[in-house]
Amino acid sequence: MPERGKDAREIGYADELLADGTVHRRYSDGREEWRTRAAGGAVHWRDNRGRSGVDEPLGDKLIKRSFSDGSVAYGREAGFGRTLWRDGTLTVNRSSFGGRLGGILAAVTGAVVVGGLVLPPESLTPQEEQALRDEATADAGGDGGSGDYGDWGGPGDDGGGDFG
Amino acid sequence: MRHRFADRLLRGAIRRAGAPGRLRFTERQLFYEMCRGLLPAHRLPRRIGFSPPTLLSPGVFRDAVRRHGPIDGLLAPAAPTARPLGKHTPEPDLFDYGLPRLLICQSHAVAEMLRANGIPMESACPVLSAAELPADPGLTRMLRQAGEATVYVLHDAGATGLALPGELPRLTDIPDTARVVPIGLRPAQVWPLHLPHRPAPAGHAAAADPKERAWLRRGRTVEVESVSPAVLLRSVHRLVRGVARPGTGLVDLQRARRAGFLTWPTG
Repeated sequence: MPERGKDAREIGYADELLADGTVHRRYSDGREEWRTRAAGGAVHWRDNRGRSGVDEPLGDKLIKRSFSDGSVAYGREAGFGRTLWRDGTLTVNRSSFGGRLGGILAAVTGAVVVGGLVLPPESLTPQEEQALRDEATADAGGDGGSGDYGDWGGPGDDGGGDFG
Repeated sequence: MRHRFADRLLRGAIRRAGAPGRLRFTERQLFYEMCRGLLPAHRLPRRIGFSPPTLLSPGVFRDAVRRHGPIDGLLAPAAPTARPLGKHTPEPDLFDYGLPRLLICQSHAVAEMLRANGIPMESACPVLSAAELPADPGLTRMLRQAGEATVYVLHDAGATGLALPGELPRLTDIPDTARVVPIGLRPAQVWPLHLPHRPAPAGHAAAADPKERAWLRRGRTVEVESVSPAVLLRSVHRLVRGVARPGTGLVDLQRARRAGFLTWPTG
C-alpha cells in the first residue's frame, strides 16, 4: 500500500515567459523564481530569497529539486499541472490550461483527487535515479523515427478556406 | 463521349489547380488534380490512411491537354540551368549577409513551381532543386554567416526521395553549423492525405519505420506534385517558417494531463 498525501497544502503558481526565453514564476506564497532551461529537460532556477538550484525530471513522473546547499526534494507529477512534494505541499500550475482544468476537476471531485495522490519517495539512491533517467530515454527512443517531419495538409485541404 | 468526359475533368482540374488566386502549377500537378476529379479520395477522413493507385492514364491526360489548347497558369517545363547569383543587384556586399534557411527540392519542376508562386519572397527562403546543386559558394558562405542555418529538403515519398537528405552533403557544400531537415514527403504523411502512388523501383530507406518500409518494398512512390498546389505552398511555408497550425478548437486533453512543474509556457 503506497503512502498517500493527506491534507495537502496547496500553493499555486503562474508562469510568465520573458522575452529572452526564460520564465518568471510567481508562487501564491510570495516566492518568485527565475527559471532557465538547460539540456536534458533540466531547469536552473534562482528565487527572490537568495536560493538557487536545479529541477530535473526523473522518468515520467518524478521531479528532483536540488538546492545549491546540497539538499534535495522530490516531487511527483499528478497530472493537470499538479505536483505533490514530499513535505505534503501540492503545487498547482495556474497559468497552463491543464492546471486550470485540474483545479475545476479537483473542486468537483474534492478530496478524492487530492487524497488519492501518491507521495514521492523521501530519498533515492544515485542508482535508482539513473534507472529512472534511463527509463525515460528508452521511452523517447521508440518513436519510430518520425524526426523533424511535420504534418502535411490539414483542415480544409480540399481547396476551401483556411488560409489564416 | 469519353473525350467529353475527359475534357470536363480537365476543365475542373485547371480551375482547382489554380485556386485560390491564380496559382501557377506544373503539368504533373494538373495531372494529379485531374486524378482527384476522377477519384476524390482526398475527401475521405484523415484517420482512414491509405494511398490509392493512380487511375488516370497519362495518355488520356495528354490528349485532353492537347485538345484544350493553351492553359492559363500552366508552367512550361524548363531544363535546370546554372543560376547566376547576385547578378540582379549592384550591391557588392550581398554575400556578407547571413541566410537562415534554404529549401532544396528533389524535383526541378517543383522548385520552379515554388519560385513561380513566390515562395522565396513569402517564406524568405531561397529554393533550389537537386539538379541545380552544387549551390553557389556565395550561398554556402551566407548559410555559414547565419550561425545556425537550416537546409530544408522536399522530396518524394519513395526510396530515392527518402535517401536524398542523407546524400545532400555529397551534392553540395553545407557548412557544419547548418542543420539538414527533411520536411516530406514520407509515406506516413502521404496516407492521411490519400495521395495516389506510382510504381517505382523497390528500395530500402533507413529513415522509414517498419510499416513504411513494407510499403516501399512493394515498389511505390508518391510524388510531391500529387499534393494540390495550394496545399503544397501552404505546407511548405508552414514547415519552413515553423508556423503553428491553427488549433482544431477541441480541448487537448492529452496535453492538459501532462502539464506539470517543468512545463514551459508557450507564450
